[in-house]
This record gives sequence, structure tokens and C-alpha cells, in this order.
Amino acid sequence: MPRSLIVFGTACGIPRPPPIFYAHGAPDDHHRLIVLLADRVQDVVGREDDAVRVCRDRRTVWSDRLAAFQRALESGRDHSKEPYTFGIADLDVLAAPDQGNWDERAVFKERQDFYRVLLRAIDRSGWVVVRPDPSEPVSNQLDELDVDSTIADAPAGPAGLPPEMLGLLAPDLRPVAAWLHRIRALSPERLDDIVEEVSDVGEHLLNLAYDALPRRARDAGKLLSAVRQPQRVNHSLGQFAIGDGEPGPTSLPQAAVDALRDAGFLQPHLDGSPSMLRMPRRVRVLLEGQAALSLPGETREVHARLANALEPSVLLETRLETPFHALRSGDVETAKRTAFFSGDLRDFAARLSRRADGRPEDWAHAAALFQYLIDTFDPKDAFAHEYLGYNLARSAGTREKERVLRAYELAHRYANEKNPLYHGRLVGFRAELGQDIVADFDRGMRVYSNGRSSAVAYFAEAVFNGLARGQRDETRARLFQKWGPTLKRLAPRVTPS
Amino acid sequence: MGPDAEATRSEGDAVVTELFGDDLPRPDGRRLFLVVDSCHSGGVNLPHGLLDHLGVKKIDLLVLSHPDLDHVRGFARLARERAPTEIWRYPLGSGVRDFAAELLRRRPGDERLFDLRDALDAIDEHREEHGESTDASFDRSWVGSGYDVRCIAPTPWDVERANKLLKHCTEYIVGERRRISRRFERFLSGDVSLGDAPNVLSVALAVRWGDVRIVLGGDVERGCAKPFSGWKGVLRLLDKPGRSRGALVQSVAAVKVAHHGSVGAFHAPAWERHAKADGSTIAMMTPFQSKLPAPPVLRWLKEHTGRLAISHVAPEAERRARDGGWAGTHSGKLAATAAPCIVGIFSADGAVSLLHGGQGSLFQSSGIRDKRDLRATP
Repeated sequence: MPRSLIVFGTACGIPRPPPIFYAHGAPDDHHRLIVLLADRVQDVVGREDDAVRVCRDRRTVWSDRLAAFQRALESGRDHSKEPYTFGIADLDVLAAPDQGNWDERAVFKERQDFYRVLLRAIDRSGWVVVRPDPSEPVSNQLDELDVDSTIADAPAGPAGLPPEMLGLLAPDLRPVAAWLHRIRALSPERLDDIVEEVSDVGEHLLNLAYDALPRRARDAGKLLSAVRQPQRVNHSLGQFAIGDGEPGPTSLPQAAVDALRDAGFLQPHLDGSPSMLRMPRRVRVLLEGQAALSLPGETREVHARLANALEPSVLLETRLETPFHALRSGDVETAKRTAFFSGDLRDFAARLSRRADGRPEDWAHAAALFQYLIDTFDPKDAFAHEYLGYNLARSAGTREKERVLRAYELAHRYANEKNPLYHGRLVGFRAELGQDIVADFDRGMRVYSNGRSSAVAYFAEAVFNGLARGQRDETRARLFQKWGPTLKRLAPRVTPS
Repeated sequence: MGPDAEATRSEGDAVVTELFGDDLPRPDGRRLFLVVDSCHSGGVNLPHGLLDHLGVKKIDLLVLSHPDLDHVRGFARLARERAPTEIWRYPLGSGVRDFAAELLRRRPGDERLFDLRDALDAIDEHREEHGESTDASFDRSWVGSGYDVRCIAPTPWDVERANKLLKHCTEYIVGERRRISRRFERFLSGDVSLGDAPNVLSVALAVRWGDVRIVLGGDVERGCAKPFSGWKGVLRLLDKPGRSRGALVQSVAAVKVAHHGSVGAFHAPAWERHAKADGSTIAMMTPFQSKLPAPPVLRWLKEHTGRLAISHVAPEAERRARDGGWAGTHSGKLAATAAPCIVGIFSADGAVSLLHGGQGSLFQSSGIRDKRDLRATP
């Protein structure tokens, strides 16, 4: 089996390419890709082996799922008769830039674990990795692996732009730059100015192109940004009919679709299929944001239609999109019914609890969703337990003290007792209940003040908030007196009263 | 106010420029009209009225410099009724259009927001009909025989800066829904000011016809500490090796003073370029409420030029100008109009006649005759 192949551009020049699965930069990426790649293993092996079954089981604990995923990839590679077994597009977006704050650390760690497993598998051979928008950190990581690289069929470069400037642009952006050049909105001199002055050249060019598109093309693009997967073109574009008139949730004007293709906002599928169009990730991010501002109702309608239309699909990749669309249309029940994994629902529930703005019904709703996630998916999901406790505490207070306490305890335990926020909330809630927490606080401060400085702030603030809610003024003053210099330095928002 | 006129009208800010004319005719005799922004006074669309007065049905180039509403009112009418050949719009206008749509959903009766969205819609309609790009990024040009209009601001760096500001005005909530951020809510409720943030996007133009050169400064600010920002960034880009654009803003006949003469928009090195050594460059200014022009700017301008024209002079502004060392002149009043406007007529021999409407005023000072006399200004 040949070494894995890293492709800049599209995979259309590669003989017998494997199915290419996309990362979208979405919270469900790692969960979704595990299901899709496990399904690919089943196709290669010809049966559902144990590792594949574990990967696809909703109730699998994350650590078990990841271990099974590694075994499944090995199995698929061993059984494959093709030069390349697996294909992934936009690996770069899976590499988390940092660890995230302590609040989201558990979710970031999942993504990082998944990414590391992928890198090891790629190092061992059998992968085609298509990089339409490469990033430097990932390039550096891939340089360390035993892989081949090729620049294969990068989308047409902008005629007239110097090659050295072309090289500065990601393959996904080249058609956009080419169009800007054709309409005289981008000259070599202007690109030179942009590259010199702007920190994100790609975003700048996309904004220029968005600005230059006709209104109907912009609106059509906003509606299409609801769709993540490549779409078949056949007198229609996926679920959208192509006709005349204004862009709407069911139909798009031909001229608008043509304009989006011209501008590079719609490009061919990265596997080279001529009958499939995709929206490059960064284009989708831009248009999705603009759609949320200017076409929120229409976008919601698109999501609702797609949730209904995709649920019965025979294609797994398509069916997996159902809960994504259902949640964006506000249909939580359909999302719960159709979810293969917890990623989307977990993200939705977290946003709901952050949005709450003091509304107990939102906290209660979020708590119910986190309880559902724990019961239905990963029972050792530290993030879900933490947020269950947090939302229960906000919605029901001490009326549900046993459940809150249990949730905080489990979150702390499943985070390997290493997350200062989870720990702080547990100790803080115990303080609110009137329990003696002084020894626990002292222990936590000793541990966290030796590690990352932000850990002290997360831990101490959570504990002091609990003391304040429990009106434990004396304990608060005592702890502040004892740890004052450390708190003033590392947790300046903590006050003695 | 004749066919050779450049007229700047205040209460808001709009500039109507006729390139060529009787005093400096174009070989084919055609009249070319450039209009930047639009404003209202007492329910009257001032540039529209001026064009009517001049008998002009068609604008050749119509420019919307930035999304501040004192530059937008009535723009949609100019775009729809004056058959512009080209329209240019500041960068990120489509994003601002989306933003205005969300704001209007929240405040459906807001006339100013409606004007902004209407202007942007009118530009979109023109774009759909004519297929021409409306982009007004740095170095966009409109060039013909004997004339040249070139976009000299905003810089790419400022466009990125404005994009970041725009992003900060929104935040994502459940289900990827984007909404106005709390910070921007406070602006809407009047608790905080948006400041001069929209000016970051402002277009400025260098205009030349025959031997006449003028600079229309929009609301471009001096810029932040970065060398790529505001007027600093503009000069830097114009001076880039191999571009030879610096002459566009050198020793010009007139400057529409940026941002109504605010302190933050005054950049002495730019004025050192603009000003002719004999002090004859005309500083043309539109006031804003009772705050602008700012007294220090009136003083600093005097160190670069001896001629000042203000389109609408209230007693307070008059006193401020005199305190700044400017002396009013009593000549050049246009009998035909009481409107807040000033007019410059540029002749082929280099002479410039200045006129003012009923609410405008002209000032002069001993001016500078020798650049070595320049004192340090910010």
C-alpha cells in the first residue's frame, strides 16, 4: 500500500480515489467523521466488525469510541485492495488552534484526540488528504509524517496574476481571486497591497468578492450556505430547484447560481465529480453569518425543509445531516430522534444555557437536553455532566441539590479531576449548601497555583460565587485573608465581600 | 454657480464636481459630472436641486463614500433618477446592507436606517442592471481623455479593521442565529457612541481634469497607530515604489476637508502635500452640528493655506474661524441661492473663483508663502 498522499487542490487527478469525507469546522466534525469512516471500513471489510459496531453505537463512551476507531482504521487498511482506502478533505480545520478555555476543555480534548488518531493513521499509509485551504501549523505537522505530497489540479489560477502571488492563495481562494481579477476588482498591485497590510488575505478577498456579487447571487449564496455537503447539479442544485425569479427556500435563479460559480463561491466536489458542487468552507462561514443577519426566516425554512427531506435518505452521509438541519430550524425533537452522535445537540444545549440571560425556562430546557445526552449517548461525558449541574443549579437551585451535586461530582471525576472550573463549581455548590469546604479549597489552590495561571481564577471564582450565593461571608473573608496575595495576582475578580 | 462649478453643500455632506466646463473645455465639449454622497436640508435633496439648477440629467460617476447617515440621505434618489453611468460604493457595503436589514427589523420606523438600506438597494439595482462592479477600493479608477478620478482611501488595512468592527457588532447565539451584540445594543439605546467607526471605511478621491487637481477627503481620519491606517496609510500607499501616485495629492487646487474639519481627521503631512507653496489651495469645509470644524483644525489649516470656504456658517463657527486667525471676505455671494453651499470655478489659466450660497462664507488669511514657515502640527 502506498504512502498517504497529501493533495493541495482537488483529488480529481488521482486514479481510483477513495470516497472523500469533509471536515466542516463544526462541533460535530469528529463524531460525524468517525461514523462515516467506520462505515467506509465496513464497505472495505465487507461486514460490520466489532470495532465498527462500537464506533456506530450511540451509547459508546468517547474513550472507547476512539479506541475502536483506531482498530477500525487498521482493519480497513489491512483489508483494502485499493491504493488508497480513506479520503478526508480540509483536515486543517480539525486542528484546534489551542486548548480552549477551561469551560470547553473537554470538548476541545475530544477533537484533539481525534485529530491525533487521524495523523497517526495517515502516517501509516492508505489516505488521500485533500487540503483546499492549508494552514501553516498543519503543514508543519504533516511535514513530520511519512507521506507524499502533490499539487494536483489546483483550481484555475487567475490569469494575469504573477505566479508568486498565486502561491500565496489557498486553492479554494484561487477561483475567487481569478474572478475578482476578471471583473477588474483585483490587480497584482492591489493584491500586493492586501498581502502586505492585511492579516487574513483569504477573508479580505472573500469580502471583496461578496461585495462585488449581484444581490440575488448574494441571497442565493446565503440560502445555499445552509448546506454543508457537496450537492448534485441536475437541473437543480441538491434540494433547490433552479428557475427564475427571486432566490427562496425552495428555488434559486439560474443566473444567481451561475454568478456564484463564476465567483468561485461554488466549486466542484474535491473528488473531481463534475456533477457535484460544493461551497468552500470559508465561503460558507461568511455567507452563513450574513444569512443569519439578513435572511434569518428564509434560512430557517431551508433547514426545516432539508431536515424533512434528508431523514429518509439511503446515503448515510446525507442522513447524518438531518439533526444538523433540524436544530437550526428549531426542531429539537427531530434532532433527538435522528442523531447518531451527541456533538450537535451538545453544542446546541451549551449555546442555550449561555444564552439564557437569566431565563429559568432556558436553563431548565438546557438541563433536560444534557440529561438526555447523558442517558442516550456518552454516560461519561464530563462536559454534559458539568452543564447539567450548572443548568439545574440555575433553574431549580437547591431544590434539586442532590442531582446538582451528583452532576458536578461526575463532571469532576470524568475530567480526571483536572479541570479547575468543574472542580470549583463542585466546591462552590457545596459551599452554597453550607458544607465545610475550606480544606477542599486549600487543596485546590495548592494544586492549581502550581499549574496554568488561569486555572486559579476559574477555580477560585467558582468557589467564591458559591460562597456568595450561600451567604457564607465569614468563610469568604477567611479564605481571602489566607490566599489574598495569590488571589490578587491570579484571580483579581475575586473579592473578600 | 455655473456649469464649471464645484459646489459643496452642508448639513450633511455632498460634493458635486463638474470636470471641464466653459473655462476649461473638454475637446468633445461633453460635460462630466462626479457626485460624492448626498444630503438634505429642510426636506430638500441638495445635490439633486443643484443638478436641476445646472440642467444636468445624468451623473457620470456617483460615489457613496461611507455609511454615515449624514452622507446618505437622498442618495437612492440620485442613483435611481440621475442615470449614473457608474456607481462606486465604499468596501464592505454588502455586509453593511445585511446589518442594516437586521437593525431595521428591530427598529422598523427608523428613517435614517431606511435611507441607508434604500441607498444600498439602489446601488444593488444599478449593479444588476449594468453589471459594473461598484467596488471603491484603493486605486479604483475612472480614467478618460484628460481626466482621472482615483480612489485613495480606504486602505486594505482599514477595510480589515472595519470588518472586525462590524463583526464585533454581532454575536452568534443558539442555532447559529446571529444577533446584535450587547455592546451594539448599548449604542442603539444611546448609552454609548459608535464614535467615528464608520469613517474607517470612508472613501477619498483624487480628481484631475486638465491641469486641475483636487482632493475629496470624505471622512477619512488620521488613523490609528499603525502605519497602514487612515491618511498615514494613504500617503504610504501612494508613495510605494513603482506606483508614482504621489503627485495625485500634491499641490492641489482644492481639498474637501476630511470629516468636517475634525481634529482626528487632520493629518499635517497630508496637508503639506496638498498645499501649494503660495497658499492658494482652497480648504472647502462642511460643518457638522455645532461641533465641527474644530478650533484647532482652523488654526492648523491656516499654516498650510490662505483660503477657506465653509458651506454653512452659524455665528459660533464664524467666531471660531475669526479666533483661528481667519478674516471673512464679503465677495462672491451667489445671488441665485440661499442654500448652504460653496462653489469653486477653476479656469484653464490656473485661476480659481470662489463663491458661496446664502449660508456659506469665505475666509482668507495672510496665509503662508513659504513652507519653511510651517509650524509643527499633529
